[in-house]
Amino acid sequence: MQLVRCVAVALVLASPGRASAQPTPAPAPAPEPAKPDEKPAGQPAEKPDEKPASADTPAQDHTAASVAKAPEPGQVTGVSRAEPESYRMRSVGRVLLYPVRGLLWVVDAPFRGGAWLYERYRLRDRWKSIFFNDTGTIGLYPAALVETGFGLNIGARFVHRDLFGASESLKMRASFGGRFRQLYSIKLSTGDRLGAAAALELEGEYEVRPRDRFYGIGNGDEVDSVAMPIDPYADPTAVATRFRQKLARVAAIADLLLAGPLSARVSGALLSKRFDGAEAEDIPSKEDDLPDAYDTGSLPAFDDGTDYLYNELELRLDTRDRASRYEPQTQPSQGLLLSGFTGVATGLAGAETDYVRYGADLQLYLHLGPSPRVLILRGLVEEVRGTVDQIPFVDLPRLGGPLLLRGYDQDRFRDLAFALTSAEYIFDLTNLVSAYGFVDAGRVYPSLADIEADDLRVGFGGGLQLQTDHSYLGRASLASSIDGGLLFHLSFDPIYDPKARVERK
Amino acid sequence: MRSLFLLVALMTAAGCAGASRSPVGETRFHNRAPVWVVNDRRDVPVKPEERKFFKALYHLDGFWHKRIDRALELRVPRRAANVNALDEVPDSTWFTNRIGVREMTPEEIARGPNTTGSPEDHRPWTIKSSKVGGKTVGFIIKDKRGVKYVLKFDEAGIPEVETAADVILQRLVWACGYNVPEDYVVNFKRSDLVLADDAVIKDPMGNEKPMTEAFLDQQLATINVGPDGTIRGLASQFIPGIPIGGHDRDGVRPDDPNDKVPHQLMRELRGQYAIYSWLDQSDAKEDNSLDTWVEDPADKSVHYVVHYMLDFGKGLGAQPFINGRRFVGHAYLVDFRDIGLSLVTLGAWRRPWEGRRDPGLVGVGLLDSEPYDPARWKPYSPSYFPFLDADRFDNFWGAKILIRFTRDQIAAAVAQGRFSDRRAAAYVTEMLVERQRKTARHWFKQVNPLDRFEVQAEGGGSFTLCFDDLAVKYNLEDSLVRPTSYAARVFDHAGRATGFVARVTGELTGRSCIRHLPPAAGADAYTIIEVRTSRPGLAVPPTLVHVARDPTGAPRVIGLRRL
Repeated sequence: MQLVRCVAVALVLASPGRASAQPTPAPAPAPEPAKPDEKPAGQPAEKPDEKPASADTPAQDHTAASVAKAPEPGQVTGVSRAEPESYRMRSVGRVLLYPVRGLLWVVDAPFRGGAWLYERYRLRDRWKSIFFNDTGTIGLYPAALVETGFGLNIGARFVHRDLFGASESLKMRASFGGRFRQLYSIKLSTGDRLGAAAALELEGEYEVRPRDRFYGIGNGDEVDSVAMPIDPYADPTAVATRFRQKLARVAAIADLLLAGPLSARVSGALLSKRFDGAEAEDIPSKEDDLPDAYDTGSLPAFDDGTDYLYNELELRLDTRDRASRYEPQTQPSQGLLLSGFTGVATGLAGAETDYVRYGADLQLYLHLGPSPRVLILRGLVEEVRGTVDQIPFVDLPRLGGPLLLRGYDQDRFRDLAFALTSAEYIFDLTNLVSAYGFVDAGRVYPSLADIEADDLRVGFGGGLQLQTDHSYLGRASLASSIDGGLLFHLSFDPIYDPKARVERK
Repeated sequence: MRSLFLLVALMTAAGCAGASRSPVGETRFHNRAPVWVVNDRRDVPVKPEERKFFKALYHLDGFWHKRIDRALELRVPRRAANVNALDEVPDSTWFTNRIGVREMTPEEIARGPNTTGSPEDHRPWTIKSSKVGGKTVGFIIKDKRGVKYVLKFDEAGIPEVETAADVILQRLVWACGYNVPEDYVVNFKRSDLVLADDAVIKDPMGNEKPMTEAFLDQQLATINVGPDGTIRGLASQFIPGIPIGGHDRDGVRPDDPNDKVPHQLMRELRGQYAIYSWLDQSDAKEDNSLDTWVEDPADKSVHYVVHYMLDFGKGLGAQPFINGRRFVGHAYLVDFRDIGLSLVTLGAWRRPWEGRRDPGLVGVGLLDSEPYDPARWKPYSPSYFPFLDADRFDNFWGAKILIRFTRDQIAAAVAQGRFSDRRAAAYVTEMLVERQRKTARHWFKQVNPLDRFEVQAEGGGSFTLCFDDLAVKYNLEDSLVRPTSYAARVFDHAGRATGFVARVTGELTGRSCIRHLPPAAGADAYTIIEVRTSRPGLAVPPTLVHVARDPTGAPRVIGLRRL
């Protein structure tokens, strides 16, 4: 074999026009001119391995004159002959990969350009200087939001974060599009004015929601359409429909820290709701207008609307916390949340609304490992009690969506009661991103007394959660269910915050 | 026919000669003394343009775009291009050989580059402006002598950690050979701060407005203040010259004609990986360096660029401690490998940093030695490309430097942190010593750990070659448990073996010699000695020592080729 190789090399050497059998050296730094015994300029009398005899030689103690005769950087290797190198295969590879590199540059160009623009023109600082005052406490700025299934919502916000010197805040908002055709809200908070143990909020809001969902009442399976409008209380058939809602609300909420992890929330709201069918442009294909599928006369408050007062008391025991300072503040990894609430709705101005609502939420956080790895177990029940036609259909407890019973569409199931259990395993990939998988199982019922394990709806899936050390940013998830389908959810609401019934959802 | 046969036979022989490769390779050196200083102080009459640092783009490129693009370029792994014939770095505007080249007392290391004296001894201080950039409170001040500083503070609620880390690393990095600013831990009172009449608040867009006492008090309310009103800070003296931004991680500064060697090929930048891993200086990036265009101290008509490293406050475990991120030093902020492993194992994979515990001492971050792996240490971000390009020879060079520090020298640097808790100083010193030895032990197993080669003539023309075995010299290997021997073979200039072989047992001191080496025949008696180290647990290629006669006829080492 060695002889064959030698002969092959010999033949190559003899080939016309070929200088050497060795690969052409790559353009490495050229060795210095070969002059044996030449002293490099600036060197003192030669002694083996002599180093400059200066004592402390910081850079500033060398001068231009003292190094004037020294060689340039990169010309000091002393190499008169370097190792031969062959880069033919690399050259071939480089040529083949040029298109891939070009594609990379094209794809990344907007992101790189955006990053450069962001820093070059200090967009964040300019944003603040344009839309906020010098101390950053007062701002008027545009805002935009994309909600899956609802589209783009744009508007403007005003915020004053320190009204009277104790972080009292005033927030005002106006936006259009997406879930809300129009949304106007104002919110006033006491901040630290009442101390650490108490906070009070007042808020007012007007919303036009052009495409809320309604799938009937009960645990029925979904069908494409019905021949004629059905009574949802008599027939649990589910049809995907949309309806329009106008909501005006004035609410007062008081949060009180009672002792340690025990707190209370007392709230009251004046609500006015009006309903109608959706506009054709707001109804997705394969869905119907609510009045086409359901008898609106059998839906309490649909035809006439309702005005009522809702008061609620909630008690919370919340020991959730992170296990160590090396875990993000936004991801509790131990402790529990136990919350119970009861509320009363009373009609105003002749409205027939009259019901009682109550429920409980239990969340257990089991720390499985550092960073963290957490198993979150949850049980949630809710019921409204009263005469059926005195409970506005929109106030019925609901399941389905990115927060409750994931894997199903928003508000897929509603009835007088629901029960839900959930198990979620979440683990960090980096301190900014966590991955999670979940199983949610639940059902709506005519009452909590009817709770049974039959015909449970089960959703499952997983996703990624984004957070900083101090802020929850959002979740992206893929979810499915035992009834099929695949849903992508993008949500910015913390899923395990206690469900707010008085505030805007 | 006969002629043709002869021709073919000759060409076959030539081919065979070309096909068989000498074990000493092709590299040869000029017969001259190695260069120990370079001239990168040629006049640069026009100030180079200031480099702007765009953090988001820098890290987007570092984590993603340029990292992938570099991989797709199929770059040839190259050894450092600016080393001398002995694989060492000459003095330049980037680096000055210090520790190990000459004796340095602990007092000298404690003093470091600080020659002008602490501003603490020259109060009150006049505040000129707020600090621009960074997230924390800071001011530009002048002391009573008019010397200008940046005054910075520890994170609120986390006293001493950053300020101590900064001055300790500043002393050690300077002693390693890098240019650093003069940094001081200072203690002062509110009354030592005086607003200049023209003191201003500067925002990142360059807008200025007058600074008031109320603003100053508001800023000081957000930092740590002792019960007696003492405030601790870090005063970093302004670097001489006109700042022109940090150095690029790739390529050269195009308008600096003295910047000849691409930065990713510079030994002193690549070898910094080993040094920074020792010190857990995880915040390596362009804007933690600074180039300044300076006047030559001897000739003010001459200007050139000098290169500094700065901002060491995130070292010694400060960054993971302050940010609550245990992974720092073990994984990047976004580490695709770790993400992939965690995802595939659904979080079951236990990452090596998960068991880390901070010592619970005031002033000390998450600094440890047991989980530390010098081979796998990672800075916070992969954006600093010299670290990605560093090879084992670069890290061997860095390890040679860091192992030279004695415990007393390290302790002297640590003492500059002025810890309020004496246990903190002892702990930091101990961790640095343990990490030092771990780092050196690792890199001394990646390259034949022989250094400081010297030759001495013997009678009759032969010579003795002596060298240090760094692993033995610094007691990283127990020579009694792991006996060492060295084998030498001699080659001539053409790479042909002369037939001389020798084997010697290593000395317990770490300095061993191979005697009676015959010079090869040929011009200047150019001789290549292959020295191979045998020790249980060590499997590294040999080192090639190139020797030739100097003009006086004495043998000298003219080149070193580490394999």
